[in-house]
Amino acid sequence: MKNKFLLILTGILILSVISGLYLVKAADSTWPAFNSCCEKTINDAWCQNTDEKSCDTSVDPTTKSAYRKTPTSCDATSYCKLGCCVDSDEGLCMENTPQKVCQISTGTWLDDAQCNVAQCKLGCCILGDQASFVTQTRCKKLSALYGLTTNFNNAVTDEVKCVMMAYSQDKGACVYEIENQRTCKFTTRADCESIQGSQTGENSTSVDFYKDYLCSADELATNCGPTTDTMCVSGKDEVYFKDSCGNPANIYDANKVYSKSSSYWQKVVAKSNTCGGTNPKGGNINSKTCGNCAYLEGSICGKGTATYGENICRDLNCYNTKNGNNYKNGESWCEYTGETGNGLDEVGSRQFRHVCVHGEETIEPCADFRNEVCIADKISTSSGEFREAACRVNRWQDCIDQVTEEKCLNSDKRDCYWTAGLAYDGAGTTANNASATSIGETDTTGNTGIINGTGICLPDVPPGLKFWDEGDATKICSLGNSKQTVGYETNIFGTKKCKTNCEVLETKWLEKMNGVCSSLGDCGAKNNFVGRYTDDGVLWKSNGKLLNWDGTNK
Amino acid sequence: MINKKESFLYRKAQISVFIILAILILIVLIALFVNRGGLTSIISGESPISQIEKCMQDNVKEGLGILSAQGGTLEPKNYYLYQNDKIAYLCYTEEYYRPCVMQKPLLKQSIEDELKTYLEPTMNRCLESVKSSFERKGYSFTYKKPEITVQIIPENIVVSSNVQLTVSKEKTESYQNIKTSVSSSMYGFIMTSSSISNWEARYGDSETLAYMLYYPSLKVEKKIRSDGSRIYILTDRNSLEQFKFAIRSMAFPSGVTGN
Repeated sequence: MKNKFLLILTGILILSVISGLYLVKAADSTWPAFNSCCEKTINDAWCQNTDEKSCDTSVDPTTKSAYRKTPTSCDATSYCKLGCCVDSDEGLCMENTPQKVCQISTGTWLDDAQCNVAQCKLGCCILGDQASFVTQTRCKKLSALYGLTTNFNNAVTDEVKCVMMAYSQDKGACVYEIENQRTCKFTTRADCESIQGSQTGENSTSVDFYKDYLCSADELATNCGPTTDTMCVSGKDEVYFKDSCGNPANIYDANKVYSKSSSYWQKVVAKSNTCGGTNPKGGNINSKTCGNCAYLEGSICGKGTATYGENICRDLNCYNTKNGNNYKNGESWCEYTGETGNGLDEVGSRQFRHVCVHGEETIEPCADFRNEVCIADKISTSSGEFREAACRVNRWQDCIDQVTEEKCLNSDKRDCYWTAGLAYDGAGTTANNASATSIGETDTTGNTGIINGTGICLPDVPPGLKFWDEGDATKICSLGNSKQTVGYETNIFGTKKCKTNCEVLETKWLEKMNGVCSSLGDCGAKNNFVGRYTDDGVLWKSNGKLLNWDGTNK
Repeated sequence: MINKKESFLYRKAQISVFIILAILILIVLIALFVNRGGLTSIISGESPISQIEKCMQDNVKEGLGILSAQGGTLEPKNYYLYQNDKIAYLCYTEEYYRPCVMQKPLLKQSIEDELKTYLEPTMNRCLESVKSSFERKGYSFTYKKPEITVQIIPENIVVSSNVQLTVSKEKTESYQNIKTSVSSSMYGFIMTSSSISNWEARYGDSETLAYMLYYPSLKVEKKIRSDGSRIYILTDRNSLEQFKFAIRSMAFPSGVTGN
C-alpha cells in the first residue's frame, strides 16, 4: 500500500446555474389575487372576479343603489350568475351572459350558460334557394327581412343536412302574368307559391311552376329570352347565363349560347354535365369560355373579360406568399421566426399562422409568450394535398414532472421532449407549484436539482417569460438549478486532484445544463429572436466564487 | 239599322261632347296657371327635407365610422387600445384560464342606441343650419325637437325622425317625418361579431377561416395581443367597410401565473 496520505477534501463545488435574465427578486404575489365579485368594475366591465378596489361603487341608475360587490366568486352571486340571454327580436342566443347584463339590455335571461334551452334550439331555415341553421325566431326574422314565407324545420339537427335541404328543393320556372305580359321568375317551388299567394283580387292571374325549366324555355312562351350576358348568383360559385328578364339560366359555356345550342336554354343542366364537370380541375380559373367555377379549387364568379359577358371564374389562390410558396384558397400554414422544438425557441420568438383566403394572405399570430404553438398538417383530396394549420395551446406545464420517456412523449397530453442522462430530483414539483423550493431533494451524493439520471422531460417549445418584470420567471427558471458535490483528493505534496463527479467542472457539462435551462423557458444563456446572445441567465459558481464559461475564476 | 240622318246627328252629338270636354280642360288649365303657387312648392332651390337628409346622411356615416372603430361604443371605458383606437370588449374576463363573460349580449340594439345618442345633437345642428339658411332667404322656419329612431337592417341603416317642420313665406309647407337611409354592412358585422363572441364565450377562441369560407365577401382578422386580448377586424371585401371589436377570453399568462 502506498504510503500516501490520502486526504479527501470534500471540495464542495457549488455550481449553480441560476437561470433567468435580470431576475433580481422573487415574486411575492399569489394567484389568483382576486377576492371579490364586482357587479361592475371601475373600467366598466360587468361581473368580474377581481380585487375589491376595482369595483365600481357608484349608484346604479336602474336600481338607484350602489353597484354590488361580494367577497365571493361571481358564480355564487345571483346578479352575476351566468346564463343565456335571448334576443327575442333578432332570435339570437348569447352564452355566458350575467343576469344583470341581460336584464339591462332588455333581453330574456335563462338559467343555462350554454343556451341549451328550447328558445335556442337550432333548426333549418329555408330562405329561397338558400338555408340557414338558426333558431325559429331568427328564421322568422330573416324570412321577414327578405320578404319570404317562414319555412323552418326543427327536425334537421345539423348544418350540413340543412344546406343539403336547400339544394334539394325543387327549382324551376315560375310563370305568371303581370301588366298583361306573361313573364317568369326562376325560383323555388315554395317561392313561386308565395307569388301566387301575394296576388289578390282582380290582379290575380294563374301562377304556374315548371320544375327544372328555365325561364328562357321556348315552350313556356314568356317574355324572358336568351341573351349572351352573364351574372354571378348570390350563394353560388359559378358564372351563369342571364336571360332577358334578369333570371339566371345554366352555367356559362361560350359554346352554348342560344345560336349554337338552343337546347341549353330550355331546362336546368346539372353542374356535372356542364363544362368541366362536378369538380372542374383548376376551377376554370380565368377561363374566357367556361363559367363552371369551384370554390374549393380556388375560383368564384367575379368581374373579368370573357368571350361573352363580363364575368369569369376569379382566381382566389395565393401566389408567391411571404415564404415564396403558392397556396390554395382556404389553405393555412405556419411561420416560425427561428428554430423551434427541442427547447431551441429563441427569447421573444412567436409562432404565426398564415391563411390564404380570396387571393389574400393574412397573418394570425399565435398567443404571445409561446402559450400557443402553430401546428400544421396535410390532407389528401381529389385535387391534391390541402395544407392546414392552427394555433393551439402549448402544453408545457407538467413536462418536468414526467419521469418516464413514455409519459413524457405522450403527445395526447403534453408537448415535451426527452433528454437522456439527466434527471430532475424534485419530480412531483411541477412548474405549476414551483414556489416551494428552488431545488428539489438532495440525493445520497449531495447533488440536488438537475442531476445525472435516466432522463429528463422538458418543454418542447419553452414558454416565454416576463423575465424583465416581477413574475414567476424566477420560480420556473430555478427549476434548472443544479448543486453538485465534487470529491477531491490531496496528495502528500498538497496537490488537489479531482476524484469524483469531475465532469461537472467542464464547460461541456455547463453547456448541457444550459440546454436544460433554456428548455424550461426564457432562462439560461441564449439568443433572442433578433439574434442577440446574452449569458446573463447563467451563473457558474465553485465554492461561492463565480466562474467563467471556460472554468476559470471571474 | 242606323240611317244617314241618324248617323249625322250621332256624330254631331259626339263632337259637342268633345268640345265641352275641351272647354273644361282649358278652364282647369287656366285655373292651374293662375294659382300655380298653391300647387307647386313655395320653396325655390333645394327642399329643406333633402338638405336635412343630406346633412343627416353625413352624420350617420360619421357616427358609423366612430362606432365601427370602437366596437360599437361611442365612449368605451372597457377597451383595448389598438393603433390609437379604443376598441370596446364585447366579451371580457380579467382572469386567466377562464372563458369570457358577455358584455354586450344585444349588440344590435346597443349600437342602435349609441347611434341614436350620436345623432340626436347632430340632427338638431342640421335643423338649425337649414333653419338659418331658410331664414336668410326670408322664410319662417319652425320645427319640433325631433324624436329619432335608428334601425339597423341588412345592407342599410334607417334613421327616422318626426320633425314636424313648417316653412312659411306667404304660404306654408309642412313636413312630418324625415327618413334617411345609409347603405352599410353593419347588420352583417353585428351578426358575425355576435357569433364570434359566442364561440369565444364557449371555447375561448374562434376560427376565422370558417367565417371567411362561409361568407366569401367577409374578411376576418384576429390579432392576439400579449395580455391575451384578441382584436377582431371584420372587413366587407366589396365596400371595404370595417368593424373592430375586442375580446379577452381564455387568456394565458406568461409563465404559469403571470405574476
